[in-house]
Amino acid sequence: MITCQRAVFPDSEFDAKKGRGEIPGFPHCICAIEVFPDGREIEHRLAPPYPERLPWDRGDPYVTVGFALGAEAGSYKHAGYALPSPAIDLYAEYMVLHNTEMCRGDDGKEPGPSLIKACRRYGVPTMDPAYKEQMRALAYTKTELTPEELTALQDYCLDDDCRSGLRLFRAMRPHLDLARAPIRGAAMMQLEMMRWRGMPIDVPLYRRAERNAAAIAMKMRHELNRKLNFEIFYSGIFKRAAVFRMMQQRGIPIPVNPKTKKLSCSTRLIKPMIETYPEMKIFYEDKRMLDAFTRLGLEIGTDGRHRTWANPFGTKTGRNNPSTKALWGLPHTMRSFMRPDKPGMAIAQADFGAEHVGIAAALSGDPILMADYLTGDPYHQFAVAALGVSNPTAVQRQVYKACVLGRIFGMGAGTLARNLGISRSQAQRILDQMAARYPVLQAWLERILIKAAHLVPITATLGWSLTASGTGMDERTFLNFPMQANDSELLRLVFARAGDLPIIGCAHDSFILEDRVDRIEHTVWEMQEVMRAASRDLLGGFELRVDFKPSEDLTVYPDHFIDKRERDDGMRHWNWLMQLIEEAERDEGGRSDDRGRDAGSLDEGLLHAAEANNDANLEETTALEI
Amino acid sequence: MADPTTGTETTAKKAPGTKTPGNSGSRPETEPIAPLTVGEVGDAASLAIDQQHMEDFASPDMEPGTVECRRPPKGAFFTVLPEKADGRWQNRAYYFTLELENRDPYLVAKPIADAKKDEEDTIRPILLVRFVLMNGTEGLWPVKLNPPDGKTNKWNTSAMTVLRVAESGKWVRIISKGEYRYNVSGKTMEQVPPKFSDRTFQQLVNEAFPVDRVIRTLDHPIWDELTHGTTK
Repeated sequence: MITCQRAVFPDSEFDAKKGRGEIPGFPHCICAIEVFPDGREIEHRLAPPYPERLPWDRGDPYVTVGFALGAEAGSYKHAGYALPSPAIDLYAEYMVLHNTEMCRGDDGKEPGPSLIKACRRYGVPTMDPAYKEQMRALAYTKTELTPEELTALQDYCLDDDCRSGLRLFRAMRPHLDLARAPIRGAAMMQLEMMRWRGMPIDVPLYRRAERNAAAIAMKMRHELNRKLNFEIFYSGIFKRAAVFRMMQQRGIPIPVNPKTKKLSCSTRLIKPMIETYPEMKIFYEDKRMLDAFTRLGLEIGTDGRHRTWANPFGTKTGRNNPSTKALWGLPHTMRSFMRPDKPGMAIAQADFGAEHVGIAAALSGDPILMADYLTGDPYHQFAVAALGVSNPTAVQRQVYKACVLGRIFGMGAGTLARNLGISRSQAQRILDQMAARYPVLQAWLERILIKAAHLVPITATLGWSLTASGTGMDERTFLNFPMQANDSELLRLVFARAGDLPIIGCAHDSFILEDRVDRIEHTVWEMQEVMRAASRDLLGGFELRVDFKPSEDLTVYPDHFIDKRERDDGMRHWNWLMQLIEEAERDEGGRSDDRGRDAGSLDEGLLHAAEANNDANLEETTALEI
Repeated sequence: MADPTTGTETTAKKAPGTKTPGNSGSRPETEPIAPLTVGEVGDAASLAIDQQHMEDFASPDMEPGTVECRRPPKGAFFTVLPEKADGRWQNRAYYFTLELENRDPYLVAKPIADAKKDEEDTIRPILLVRFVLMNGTEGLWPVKLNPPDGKTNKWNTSAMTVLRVAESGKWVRIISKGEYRYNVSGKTMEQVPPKFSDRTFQQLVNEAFPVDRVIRTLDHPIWDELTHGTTK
């Protein structure tokens, strides 16, 4: 813990360049209110050229407080200042304090608040939104400000943004967890640094895919109908009822959406079944690719790098919730649009191995599960013990893996039976075997449910919490909550400690780094150390495994990044995608030739129909697949 | 004070509580903001919250919401009020309901239920019981009754068992496993007192069953729907 005699409330004005994949603009001004123990305040108005050192940086510790500090992190970086520490981000703290109330609606979690909304929530006087828009327009549209415009912007920055932040802090302070808030504050700024770095994209290739998306999607629909030998797309429109019919005819159980209690073929519910039913694997993989093509729209800057907002704390478990247009929101095949941008550069991926099992083992304190995890393959160990064989087959291991992960995610015998294509009694027997092997885990999971049923907050290691709503969805949510909430706490701690490590992307359990070829392995080693130490700190000394195999997880220019699943699948989907792009271009070339001879041909009409169907497909899938 | 060489301007400010210039008002600022003692990123190990003690973090109360007629949710502890065996019941009563799939139930007036009972198996007698969750949410539990012909159903029988445990002054949680089973909370009524609202049982019934969900006549549209079907 550190005692700070001063608190500083900074803000800056710049062109955020939203939605364009660009680095935010150079700050027009950086302002701050510095508050002393006697209540005295100093208002700071800075403008380019910025001083070498921030005027409030006097050598003694001070705490920086702001709302969505990522923005200020960017301005600091532009102006050449180190990121402030310790720092409290009131956006992050709002999300922590109000997670439960933000999850109460039927439409998923509410989006995070603006500064104005947060102030209103706390009854704090704040600025007029119209005035804010006016000032934003000034910051976004002008590169050179007149002295009058600069003064107006500084007045707004200081008297409204900084002052609102200060007032909001006063109002929120009794509720703030000041011990843990700086970890979140540091993570928020590092997430912004990750966005700044951006992911290098093979832009020419990506643009070819984007240009031909409608034609590719049309081909994918035809191809999926052909592969399944069933018309699930009719005139380009996805027919859910046809999928149900196909599943019924082939004896494949149809999942029920636990929220709506209705039959569903959403890819989310189909996913756990794909190892059991080959048709559903085809459906799942191709449908996801198809859906992705209907909404292709990576935000790529003029430097060829993809930048998008991670939407930290965007889910009820506290995980990031980036847009489905982000590269990491697309099917894993399409991650191969990423590749190092020039000779001598490399990209690496390091991930926590079997992270949820490790977290469950550590937090429950189940000695058998901890020992199984430490062998490197807990599913193998469980299969060995349950089956009484020394070397279980890959299928047997898969069954016991589905059981362990399923149970941690709140799965019952019915769902496990459906996913594995076995009888309910067989599924129950496997679940009973798991309960017998891991009794401490079983009791811990049950204990979580009992706590949740008391409608008290279930709190993760760094304070993220959720309170049960008293609806039927609670049991499933809370069996799973400690693993997901703690993996997101772990992710934040890693970010908070990452310093200058060149992280360019992350999933819930993995990090993507970019560096020079001659340095990348050392950089990964440093990252592994940070990840392992973070896991020890949050899990009572239990260290999670961090996987990185240079032969698989390292990509050197000019190769494309390959997700492990795609590699395991023999690059089947990526090669198919490349083939579809080439076919679409060939067709387009043919059409161009035809167009020269016969404008308004039948093919052109079909392509326009395909483009229209793309939109129709998106609407139908969005509406149906909750 | 403007410093043209650095583009920096700093202004010493007023004492706390004075009006702040700008586009919005300010509130009296009495408590000093600094000094502040905060955690550091390196402190995470000592700051990690012990996951065995999550229950120590108490929840602020939630406001009671609407009244629903349904079984207490499986994920939450609830309790009910006991009734005197010889007195008039205050917080439960027998009713007839008419239930259609995927629809909220209707309440059926006894004379109408009597008139229709031989031709309509969607009507059944239930015991409507007031319950409350730990957060103060109240509801009406429609406990299905075993038929008078002596043929029992273990779901109905076990529901009555859970009801009896709850009315004995316990917080219980329903678990469905081939029948209704239950957990009894380690929390006692003294530790977590039930927050029944001031509303009467009849008020709750009226809220759960608004006028359009109460069948008092034989010309109610539901009978036509049951006889001829509906496209709705």
